[in-house]
Order: sequence, then structure tokens, then C-alpha cells
Amino acid sequence: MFRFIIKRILEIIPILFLVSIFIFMFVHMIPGDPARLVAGVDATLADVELVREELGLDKPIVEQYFTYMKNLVQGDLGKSLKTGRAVSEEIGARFMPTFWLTVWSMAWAVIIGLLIGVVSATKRNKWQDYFGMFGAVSGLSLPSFWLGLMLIQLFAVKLGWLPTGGMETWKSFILPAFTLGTGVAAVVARFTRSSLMDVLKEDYIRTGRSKGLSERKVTWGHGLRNAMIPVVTMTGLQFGFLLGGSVVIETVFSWPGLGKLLIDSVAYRDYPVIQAEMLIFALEFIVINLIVDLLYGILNPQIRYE
Amino acid sequence: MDQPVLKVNNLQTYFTSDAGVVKAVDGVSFEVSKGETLGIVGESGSGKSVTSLSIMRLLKDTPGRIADGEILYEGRDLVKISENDMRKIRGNDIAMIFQEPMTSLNPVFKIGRQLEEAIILHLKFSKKEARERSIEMLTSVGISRPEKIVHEFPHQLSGGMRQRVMIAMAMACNPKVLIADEPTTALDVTIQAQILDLMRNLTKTTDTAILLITHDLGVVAEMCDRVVVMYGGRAVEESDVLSIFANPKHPYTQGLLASIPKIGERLDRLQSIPGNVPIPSRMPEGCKFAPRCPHAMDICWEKEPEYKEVITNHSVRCWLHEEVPQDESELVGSTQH
Ligand SMILES: Nc1ncnc2c1ncn2[C@@H]1O[C@H](COP(=O)(O)OP(=O)(O)O)[C@@H](O)[C@H]1O
Ligand code: SF4
Ligand SMILES: [Mg+2]
Repeated sequence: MFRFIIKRILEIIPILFLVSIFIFMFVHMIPGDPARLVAGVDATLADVELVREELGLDKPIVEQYFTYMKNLVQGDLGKSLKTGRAVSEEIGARFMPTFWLTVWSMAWAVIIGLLIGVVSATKRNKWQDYFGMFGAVSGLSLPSFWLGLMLIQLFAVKLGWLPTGGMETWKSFILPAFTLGTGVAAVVARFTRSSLMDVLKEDYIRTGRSKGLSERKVTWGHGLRNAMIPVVTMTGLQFGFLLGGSVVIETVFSWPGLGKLLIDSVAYRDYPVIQAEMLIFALEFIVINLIVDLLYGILNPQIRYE
Repeated sequence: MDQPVLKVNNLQTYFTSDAGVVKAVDGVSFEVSKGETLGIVGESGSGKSVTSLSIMRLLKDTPGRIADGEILYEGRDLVKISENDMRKIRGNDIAMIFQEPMTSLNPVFKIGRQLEEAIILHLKFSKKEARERSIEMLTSVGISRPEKIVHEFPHQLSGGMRQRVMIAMAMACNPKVLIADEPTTALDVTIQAQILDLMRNLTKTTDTAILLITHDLGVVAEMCDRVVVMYGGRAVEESDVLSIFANPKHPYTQGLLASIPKIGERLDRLQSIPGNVPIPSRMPEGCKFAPRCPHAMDICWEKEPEYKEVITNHSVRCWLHEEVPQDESELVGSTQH
């Protein structure tokens, strides 16, 4: 197991290297001229060229890439074109808000999703099932920005119970975390339901009942533990979508996180920041995949780590 | 003879679907006493498994339900008791092992935990006592190094080993009745014999009554004291094993015996009786065996014979062995003998 983790971590390095090439190429394909943006609207053509030289943007793209990689290996992500501050500082300040928003969204979504899924599977074709699945389908089909705006309208503007945005108190988390987690909760609920329904048909469930176990023990003990195996993989994938979703949600709720930073830096063609952000997103994806693989192995004893 | 521990009276179990009602079990009666092994034989589809699941009341998530009849366990009718009371009986008084050892254990839990579950539940043992009892049970089913096996997962064991574990699990709470639904069908021949030996020896010492469901008359001859023959959801003949083999009365039983292969060979399909088991949704009107019966008479097609004790300890469901009702006697052909 330990060796497996080490091996997986070592594998991350070449993956990140490839990802960095793609990100670099992608970012430089965004139309627009950062030199002009940095130099300002009133700048003369000569000023713009001067800035371009200063930023190293006049060099061939391959050379720019090697400079970028050289700095990256040394842990230097460069300076923001917009603020002139170190990119690591810019990102560092924005990381935790997004991290906590994601964690809280995920936490409620998984718990509620599982509950709805189990209830729907055990009360198949009863009102609980219809109710749960109606909720799940609604959760999937509502666009999250629209849901966010509606919630702000109701709970912040009309009722005044919760703030419209920002991140001042714990209350600020409620609306964005709810909005962000809705889609995940819906997917987890549907997936748990179908997975558990399949598992409950298995022979070992009948064995459990034949021992005299209660339905509760059979479902939550023997059933859910097996049904979780595919759900974990699915939830890991959702985590990725959730990172993407946070870009939209953070804008709607003026959340001081990575998503909002990304939007701002794309608007400003702030290459170093965009690159660093995308690299972080890629890294998060990889780490989540690793965690999912480990969890999968813990849940399924037939998996062996080599 | 002892009082029967389990007595089934005219059991009827129906499955309801969009296509209508399927009477999978429709008139099964038998009883089994302490220490006795009762075989239930019949081709596949004759309702043997549904009968055993009915006794355990494990039809909950199938479209099946017990429509009529009694299942008396020590005088209590299991059809009528609450689910709560039934749970106290399952795994404790009446235990069951299944045909599929490969899929009957939960793949994500260790063997020990799966064994201890019922012991803790029914015998109220502590975790430590339950572990001791599990190891004791694994030893008694002939598993070597049981201290190691309790820490293993089902996929690490062979089919034969898993069936031994299932037997250990079923016997852990000293049940009065053990239902074994084709316990050796999925295993290869040498393992089959070992498992049967094991069941015989285990239950001899504990006086457990066994309901052994099989389609293999070789197994019946080897294991059973008495036999119930099932056909089309009905019990059609019952007697002690000697009478059944020496003096079968029902034409279906006669056909089964005629088709016995060499001793020890497996019997997957009975070739010598022409035709097939009727589909429950398309049962013939009168005797369910009439389409395949070499002795079928007119009345057989019109009216179902009753299940009757024709001589002491020998029951049959066949017009050949029943007084034909007076008003219908003219329907009967000359084949009566
Ligand atoms: N879950 C089920 N749903 C519908 N019908 C069933 C179900 N299980 C069994 N049956 C019906 O009961 C009949 C007898 O099945 P079964 O008891 O399994 O036969 P056996 O064990 O003797 O081979 C089958 O032919 C089928 O029509
Ligand atoms: S009742 Fe008639 S058809 Fe049925 S087994 Fe007896 S003789 Fe054959
Ligand atoms: Mg069967």
C-alpha cells in the first residue's frame, strides 16, 4: 500500500509536465495582447513594445516555455501581470476559501445524496422514492448560476437572512455551498439508488436475511458497503466538475477564491496567474484520483495494490 | 416417532406479475422430525427453492407471497407470526444454506465477521466469545487453520471452502432445522461427497432435522431417511427412502428412478421422462403430470388427484392409487390396475 502511494506520487511528475505544456500552449492561444493591457490604454506603440520586452513576451514561444519551466522547477510561478505580486502569493490567498467551499459543498452533497439514494432504493416505487428522484432530477436540471441567483434573491434580498456574497461569517457559506453541491448531491443520490438496488438482489443479501439480521442491518451494513464501491468512483469524478462549477458560483457570490481569480486573470490576460491556476486544477484532479483509488481499494478487498 | 419439528401443510406460494398469477407452489405438505433428514426431489422448476424460501419467509423482495397453508415450527404457524418474531427464528432455530457458495458470502467482509454476526445476534455472545465460537465452528466443518481463515475474505477461499463456511455459519447457533437447497450442485464431485459427509456427521451429533433439497436421487439414497417428490409445485409422493426406491407408486417417481445414472454421476437433466416440467403459468387442468404420464387416463386430464396416504407412511397424488369418485367412474378408462 505504501509503495503503491509512492509509485502513484512519482507518476504525477511526468503527468504534470505534459499538462504544463498543454496549459502553456492553451494560455498563449487566448486572443488578446497582455503587453497592451499592462501598458495601459494611453500607451504609445513604443511603450507597448517596451513592456513586451520587459515581460519576455517578444521571445519565441518555445524560449518562453523553457524560461517558464526553469522558474517553475525552482518553485517560482512568476509575477502577476496585473498586480505585480508573486503568483504564489496571489494564489495562496485564494486557495483556502475555495478549498473550504468545495469541502463543505461535497460534505453535504455526499451525505444527503447517500441518504436519498438509500431511502429511494429501499422504498422503490413508493412516494419516498418518487419524491427523492424528483428532487434529484430537479437538482441536475437547474443551471447552478440561475439557482444561485434565485437563492440570493430569496434569502438575501427578500428575507435578509443570509449575506448576498463575500466570505465574512459562516453564514456566507450556506448559499454558495448549497448551490455548488446540488448537482453532486443529485448525481450521488441517483447513483447510490441504482447501485444499491442491484446489490440488494445479490445472494449474500439473502444470506444476511437468512441469519435473522434486520432490514436496517442488511441494507446499511451489507448492502451500502458494497453499493459504495461504484459510488466512490463517481463521486471522485464529480469533485472535478465541482472545481469547474466553483468558477461560476464564485462569480455569482463574489467569493474570494480561485474561481473568481481565474475569471479576473483571464479578463486581464494575466498569463502567469492563469497558468498557475490551471496547474493547480490539474494537480487537484490528480490528487483526487489518487484518493479515489485508495478508497476504492479500502472498500473492495479484492483489489490488491502492487 | 418423535413429534415433528417442522410441519408444512398444503403450502401455496404465488408470484404475481403483469402477466398474471404464477402458482409456483400449490399444495405441498410434509413433516420432518428431530434428527431426521428429509429429501425434497424434483426436476428444476418444480418449486423446491420457493418452498424453502417460503419456510424462511425470504420472499420479501420477490413478487411472491404465501397465499395459503401452514408452516408449523414447534407448533407455531410461521405464516402468521410477525416479521420481528420470524427474525428471531431465522438463523437461530431454522438456518439455511444455498446452492451458490461463490456468491452467498459478502465479498467485502472477512469470514470471521460474517460468522460472528448471527452468533452475537442470537446467542448474545460477546465479540470475543463469538470469535471463539466461530473458530470452533470452522474446525468442526473441517477447515484447518481457522484462526487464519477468520481474517480472510471470501475471494481467498475455494467454492468447497466457502460452502463449509456457509455450513459453519448455519450451524453456529445450533438450529433445530437446517434447510439445504442443493448445497452441492455447484461443486465438483469429490467436494460434493465431502460436503455431504460433513453435513451427515455434523447433524448426527446435534440431532438437527435436515431438509435436503436436490434433484439428484443419488444424494437422496445416500443421505435421506424420507423423501418428498415434487412435481409442478405439488408434493406428489412421500415415503421412507426404502419404500420410494423399492416401491415407487407415482408414475413420475417411477420415471425418475428409471433415469438414475450410475452411482455418483451427476444428474442435471432427466432424459428418460419425455417432455418438460410444465410452465407454472400454463399448467394442465387435471393431473399436472398427465402430458408426460404413460398411464394417463381420461379423468387425469379433467380432475386433479388428491394427496393421500394410501398405505401407512406412504402418500401419493395419483388417480391410479385413489378410489375414483362414483359419479365420475364412467370417465375412467380400462387402464386401472
Ligand atoms: N422471483 C421469482 N419471480 C417469479 N417467479 C418465480 C420466482 N422464483 C421462482 N419463480 C417461479 O417458481 C417456479 C419454481 O421455481 P423454483 O422453486 O426455483 O424451482 P426449483 O428450485 O425446484 O428448481 C419457477 O418456475 C418460476 O416460475
Ligand atoms: S393421476 Fe393420472 S396422469 Fe397423473 S400421474 Fe397418476 S396416472 Fe399419471
Ligand atoms: Mg432451486
